[in-house]
Amino acid sequence: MDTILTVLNAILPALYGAAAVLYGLLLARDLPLARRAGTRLLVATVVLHVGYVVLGGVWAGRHPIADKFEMFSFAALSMAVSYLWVEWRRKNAYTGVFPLSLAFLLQACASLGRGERRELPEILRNPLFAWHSASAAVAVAALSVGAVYGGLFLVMYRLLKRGDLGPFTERMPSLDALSAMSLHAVEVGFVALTLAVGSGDLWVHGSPGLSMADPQVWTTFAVWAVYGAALLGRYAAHWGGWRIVALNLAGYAVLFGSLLTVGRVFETFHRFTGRP
Amino acid sequence: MAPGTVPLRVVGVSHHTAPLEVRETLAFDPDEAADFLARGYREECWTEAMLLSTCNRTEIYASPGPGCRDGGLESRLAAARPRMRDAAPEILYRNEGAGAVRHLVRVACGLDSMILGETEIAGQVRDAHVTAREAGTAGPLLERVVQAALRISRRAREETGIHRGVGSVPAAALAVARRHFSDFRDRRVLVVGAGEAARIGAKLFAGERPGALWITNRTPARAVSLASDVRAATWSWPCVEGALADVDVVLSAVRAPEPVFGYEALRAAARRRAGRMLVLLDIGVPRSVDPRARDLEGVFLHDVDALERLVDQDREKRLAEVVKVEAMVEEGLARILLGEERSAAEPVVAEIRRSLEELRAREVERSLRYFAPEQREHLDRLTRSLLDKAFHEPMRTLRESGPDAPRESWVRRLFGLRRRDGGKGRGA
Repeated sequence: MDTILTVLNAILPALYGAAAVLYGLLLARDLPLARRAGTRLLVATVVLHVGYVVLGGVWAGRHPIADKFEMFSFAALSMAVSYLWVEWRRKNAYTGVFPLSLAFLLQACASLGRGERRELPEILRNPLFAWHSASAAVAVAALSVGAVYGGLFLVMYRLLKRGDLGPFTERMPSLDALSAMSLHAVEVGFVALTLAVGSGDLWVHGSPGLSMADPQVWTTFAVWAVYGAALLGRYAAHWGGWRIVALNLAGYAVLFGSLLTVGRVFETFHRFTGRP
Repeated sequence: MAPGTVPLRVVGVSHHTAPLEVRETLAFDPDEAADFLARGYREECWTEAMLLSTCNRTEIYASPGPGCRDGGLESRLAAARPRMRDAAPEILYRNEGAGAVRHLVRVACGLDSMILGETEIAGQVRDAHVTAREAGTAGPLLERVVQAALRISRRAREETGIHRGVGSVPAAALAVARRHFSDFRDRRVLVVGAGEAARIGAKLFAGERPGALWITNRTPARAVSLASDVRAATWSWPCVEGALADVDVVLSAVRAPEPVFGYEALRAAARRRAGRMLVLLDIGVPRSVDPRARDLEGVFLHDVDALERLVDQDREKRLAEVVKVEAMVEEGLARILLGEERSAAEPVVAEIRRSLEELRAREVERSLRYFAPEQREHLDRLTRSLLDKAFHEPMRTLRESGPDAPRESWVRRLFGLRRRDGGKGRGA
């Protein structure tokens, strides 16, 4: 089983990369072949990735999202699944290159960082930690999708403002569709983030030796507050257009920055004993 | 296959040969078309007929029976539309056989349309065929040819970009509005003006089933008339700037010396909209929207120059697809003609089979007394199988090669079949 996992670990980034290239060709050249091949390859990749996650959990005899690399991998899978859903719902495959490039980067990080699967320390065997890590991964994926579509919204907004009616604006979904896709993803991400924060809080309070005085916790609260403000603006003040998208992107910048820097500076997601 | 093998003729007038003022006098509505076809079918010797009448063409497709006079279609058209007699004879074009089929296929694919690649024409061909069927003048030939033409047209749309993009400025305006809004069902649209461009634009937007569609015009009676045509409501002209806070799309197709939508009104509206998109499609000349609207948050302005550029780009893209569609037309035409050849051979093949089966049954009957009752079924099966196997290849070859007149006569003599005129073949 270890061999299968090693092979899947090696080929998953390549598959995501190849799918991103095919979707990129579709956007740039509008090749029907790229459309068919891209979707099929992505579906196959997702199936393999689900197998990889399940096998990993079975082989290690624990839940499969216990460290940051496993979380990155699960986030890549969640992004690919949410993109496939978007493609199916919107009947538009031209945006695939953007979320899949991000999924490729996440999976490449996950595959490069994958080490030997070790026994989990007692503190991480708590089911609340499994909830916490899975919902955090879903939140990262959904907020990443929201950021991708938010970014595309801003590009389209600028182009249409300038009166650029070229092939890019023709192939992309409409501005209101991009805004809705970004908003829906953010809503899902916000709920998942809230679950991650809630389950994390319960986990910390139920585990001696853990503390909320953790830089990852602080930045997560900051991210949660920014996204909460964006959603409040949308539903309470009826904000529309780029204001919401700009707030979403600000929230994602904080999230992405925290994932990159906090982990690097403090060497772990959370400052506690018995890290995996 | 030589032209003329498919017994189909077309005579018609289109935007290529006649101006609008002539074409509009030759147009038929569906009831008139059905009446024209039924009368022609009764009084002429057509075996099948169909009339295609759109704003850009009036064409009769007919399969003339034996003894049909030349010029019958033209004189029938002239009788129905007397204005034809005053028009120059060159406005009529004629084609027959494979040429007529090719023409129908090209028409269905939008290759002969005023707006290259337009898709409405395929529906109009389908409607013309339905009308002919209801009038009782469409038969198996038109069924095969029209269905094949529609199949090729569908394939052209699916596999090429011949229909992509926009063909007119109002259509470009709708296409640009779609880059802002994917669904108009909960959007409100205001059309300013009641001229030709406004009318076309209003119809296009009405087809999107918007949440609300309003028409406004300096002359209220014209706004009311257009609104009733497209099932819209009217908006009061003096309050037109007030609409900016409420609507999502404005299609302005009005000639005005001063902008209808001034900067101050636009700025006030943008403030009240709090970032909600307002799309202004200004297709009037001189411009009816202050160009400084582009500087306002959430306001998008697309003027006639930008929209015309889009039309030009799309026309070039469609032109680039023509070669591919023409190749599909020729490929499809070859299939249609082959199918026609095969179906033309069917009566002869059926006659040969019938004749051989009679011979077999007669000989089996004569020999039955030499066989035990339990062997008779085997005998029947054996002779049938022998006959099927021995004649399978010749029948296939006959179907594929198709019977031209000398070949059919030779085959009939070979198998001792009656001639079509009732004469007796050798040895039958």
